[in-house]
Amino acid sequence: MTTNTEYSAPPPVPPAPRPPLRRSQSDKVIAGVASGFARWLGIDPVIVRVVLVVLAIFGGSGLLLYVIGWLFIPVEGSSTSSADAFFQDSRRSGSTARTVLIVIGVVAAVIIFLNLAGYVFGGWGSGSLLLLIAAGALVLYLVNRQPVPAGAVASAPPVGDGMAPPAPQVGGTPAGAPPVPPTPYAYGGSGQYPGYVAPQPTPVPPQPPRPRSYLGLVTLSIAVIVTGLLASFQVTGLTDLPLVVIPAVALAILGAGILVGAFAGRARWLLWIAVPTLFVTVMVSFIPANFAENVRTGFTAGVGERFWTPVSVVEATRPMELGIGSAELDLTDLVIPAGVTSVPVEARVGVGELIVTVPDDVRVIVDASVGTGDMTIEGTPRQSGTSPDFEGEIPGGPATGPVIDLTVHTNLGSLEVSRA
Amino acid sequence: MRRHSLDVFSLVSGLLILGFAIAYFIGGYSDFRLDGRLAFPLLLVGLGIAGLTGALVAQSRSDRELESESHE
Repeated sequence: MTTNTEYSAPPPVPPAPRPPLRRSQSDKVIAGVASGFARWLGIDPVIVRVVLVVLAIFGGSGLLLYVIGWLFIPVEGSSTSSADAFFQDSRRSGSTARTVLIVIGVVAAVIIFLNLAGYVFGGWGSGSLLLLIAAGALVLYLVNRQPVPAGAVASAPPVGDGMAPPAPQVGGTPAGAPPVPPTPYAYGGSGQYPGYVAPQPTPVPPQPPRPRSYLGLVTLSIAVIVTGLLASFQVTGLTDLPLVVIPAVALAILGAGILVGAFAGRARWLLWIAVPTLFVTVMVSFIPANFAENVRTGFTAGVGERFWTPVSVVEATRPMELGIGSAELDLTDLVIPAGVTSVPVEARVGVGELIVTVPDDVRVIVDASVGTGDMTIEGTPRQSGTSPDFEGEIPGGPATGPVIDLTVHTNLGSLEVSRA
Repeated sequence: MRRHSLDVFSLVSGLLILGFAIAYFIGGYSDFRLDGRLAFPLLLVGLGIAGLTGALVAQSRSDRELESESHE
């Protein structure tokens, strides 16, 4: 007797999901990036290692890719990479973790730009391209990354994350049917490693809020106080420091604060103050050494325009000074009495321009200098930059006779001496 | 002030800023002059190195912690 039973085919077994991309801890040379990537791809780790080494030798991008993998691929047993932790940390505590990645991004962009421009690393070729791709991947990661809610690290990973394989949904299974046991992982979905069991995630307890650190505020306050004191000492003449020393001291205090923060307390945000302070220091370093003195002189010697036209030796030998502005010294009407062999004339401008016109029938020996700026002396090439100077006789005058002994100086600006 | 594990980013960037300050301080009293045009490219490179070093040290530190936890 035969039983008429209808044959029903067993439900199709769905392919095992790809294992999650995790850095391997069991088979690692440095950080398990290559073996983890190979397991994800279902290939031999040696292949990935060889490719990385070749890329590292030809262009260096293998090294960069490895570092990116190290930073962005979570380690086995965890669902967050250090980059994730970085961003979580940034959101939670308001630290400058995000700054670090921005800085790296900027530097990478600069390197890529220089690469493409062919200025520095000429001949990298494929290295440049891979750098570009790596930077693109980094940007894509940051753009597409979902915000991680606080405490998400402690919760179980979502289904499909790979930490616990999802139960296969067999078509037609009625509701309430006993659950189908989960299929163990198989590398590459081919089922050749049926014994593989994915590690369970280790619950990470939420971190307690970090105590507030006053190191940054204390450092900033000290830097502000010291800068204010030095500036006031300088203005009142109690000290005579080179001007650049004042912002340099402030910079040193900020740097020391950041350095102390490496061991105790937190003061990373001081970097946002230190960078503009460095900018100010660089700008001040371009200012001539006696600029402060000239600024002081500017208040006493005056600001504006001056036209000096001495006609007698007495007038010509009076010191002529202007703090800030434009001055013209015209010596063409100067009358030198018989018997006078030398007429000392001195003119100075702090910030601005000084134009001197000398008569063409008198010998003129000039001592001219400019702190920073341009200098044009008749008969000599034009000089510019820091500290141009000239000492000598202006050509075009008579061979003998009285001499105008001219001393002229502009601290910041331009100086011109010419014959009428 | 509460002590914590070494923050490599702060260490490197603090040394970098301090280095700039010392260079300009010395420049104020001598003929030594750090080219101002180089200061910011050097700062970028230095901060990039600081960030990269800090991130790698933090990563290897968390790897070690996970490894020691898995051994327990």
